[in-house]
Amino acid sequence: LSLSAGEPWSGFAIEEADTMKSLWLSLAAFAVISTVVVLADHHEHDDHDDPVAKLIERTNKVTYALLAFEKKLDDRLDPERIERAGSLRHRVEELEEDTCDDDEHQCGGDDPQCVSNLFVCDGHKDCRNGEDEKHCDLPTKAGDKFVGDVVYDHCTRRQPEHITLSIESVRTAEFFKGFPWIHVHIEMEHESDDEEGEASLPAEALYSFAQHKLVVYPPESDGLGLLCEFDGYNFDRFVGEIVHEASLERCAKFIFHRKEDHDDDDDHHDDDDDHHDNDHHDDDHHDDKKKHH
Amino acid sequence: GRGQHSAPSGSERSVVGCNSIIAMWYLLLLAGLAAASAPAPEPSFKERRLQYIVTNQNLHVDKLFDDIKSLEKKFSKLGGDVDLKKVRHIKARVSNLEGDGCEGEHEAQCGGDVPECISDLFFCDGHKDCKNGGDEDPDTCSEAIAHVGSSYTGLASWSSCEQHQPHHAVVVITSSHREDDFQPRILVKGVLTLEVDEESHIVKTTQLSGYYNFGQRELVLDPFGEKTTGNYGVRCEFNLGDDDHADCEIVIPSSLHVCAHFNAERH
Repeated sequence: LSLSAGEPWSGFAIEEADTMKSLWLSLAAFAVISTVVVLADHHEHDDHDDPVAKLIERTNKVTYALLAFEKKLDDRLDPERIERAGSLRHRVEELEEDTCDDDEHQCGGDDPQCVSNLFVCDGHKDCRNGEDEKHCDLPTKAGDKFVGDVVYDHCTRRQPEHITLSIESVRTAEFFKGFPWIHVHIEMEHESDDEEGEASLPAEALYSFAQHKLVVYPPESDGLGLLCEFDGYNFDRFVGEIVHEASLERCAKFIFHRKEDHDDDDDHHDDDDDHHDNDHHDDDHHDDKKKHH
Repeated sequence: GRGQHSAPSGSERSVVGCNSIIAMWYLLLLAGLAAASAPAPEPSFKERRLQYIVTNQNLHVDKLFDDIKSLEKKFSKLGGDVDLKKVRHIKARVSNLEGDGCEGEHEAQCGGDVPECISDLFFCDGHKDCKNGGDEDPDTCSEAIAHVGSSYTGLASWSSCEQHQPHHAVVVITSSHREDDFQPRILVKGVLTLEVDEESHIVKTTQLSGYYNFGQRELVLDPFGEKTTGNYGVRCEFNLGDDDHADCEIVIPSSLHVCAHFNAERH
């Protein structure tokens, strides 16, 4: 069971998972015993097979009941559901007033607390609830590709329909883990009346765990950088805004999606009742992989 | 069979594990069948031993059943699942607060993950205008709201125009018609009924005519017929995530001044 820590039911689930384990063990033990019995008594009379067959049937029923219950449990703990709920919560938080200063991070939970962005994911617990060291899995790993569709664009020279952001390499300083340096390529096709072309611009970027933000420094001399903001729950999608480096004025917007190796059909994340079984599971969701220090 | 199969742990529940278990039961059944086809004399000690084992195992299975039952009981005490309707409702409220980012008065949002605004005259006209086809989506283009006989009821509270106490207002759709060569609107006629006095049951009715706008999800109705002056129109916005709830206003048609407001529910 993948559990996200801090959820009220996780304790219960762990306890249950242990019970499950012992149930499975006893089932397996029983299976071995009954196999031995059946094999040893294969020259027995007809009459004895009846109770054995019944027993096997009942064991199957128990197994089925157990699996059905586990499915119920899994449905409730489905990480995708928790992610969707988180994204909705994030939208509400965006509408609310900020609870912390610009350069601070909200620890969240039932006991709010602000810590400096510089303390998030530095390997040292600063939030009372430890939240600042819980989600330190980089969502942009080397080799990842994100494709962005244009929402509006008033400033780029090429006016692309799509931008591809490919993550080339990641450098994390051991003594300053909260802000990994990332080398990216920004790829786009552009068409104008007289020419078509492709551009692949190398650029340097900095990821901030505190803000779930990737800041791509301007690859060209026009001073246009790219700010990529994740919502903190769904790490397969982010909003990328092109800003003037000097004024921080936003002048173009793209919505990026993680590009899978195989083409997924778009699922609309705004339906709670659609179950898309994506067979990819990037485990950069909220697993509580505790870092070893 | 011994050692063929190690116990799967609680966390490792792969399909393969399931299959191998099923396969094992299958083998067991086969073995059972094989055993059934081989008659033999009855050594009573073995027989008793077998019976003893079977009884024991049955008890064991009973215990497992009980354990699962008590687990399920515990689990069901953790509170039920969220009602999908409620979730839809909350999402719609959040979306309304966020705004749809469409500047023009007659533009509407395509929806989906990448925002895009198009004129509401392009919605549901049989031609895809949004990049994601959101303007021709069957849910968006559902005609259910303007079905003949649909009635929307709510408690109207007047802020101006009349001195009524809050009372029930009912909008009933009496006819609906969609032109073949102009699909983005449904032309509707209806009746607005105001139960202005509960004591004497004085009811005020107004004939209405107007349209339903798919893109804005809005029902626009103005007084119609013999005597339109001094009568009110209705504007209902179905922005609560389904076709059954709307935010309605009773307005003065010429100025669109809002006189009363009611949260309508389909009945």
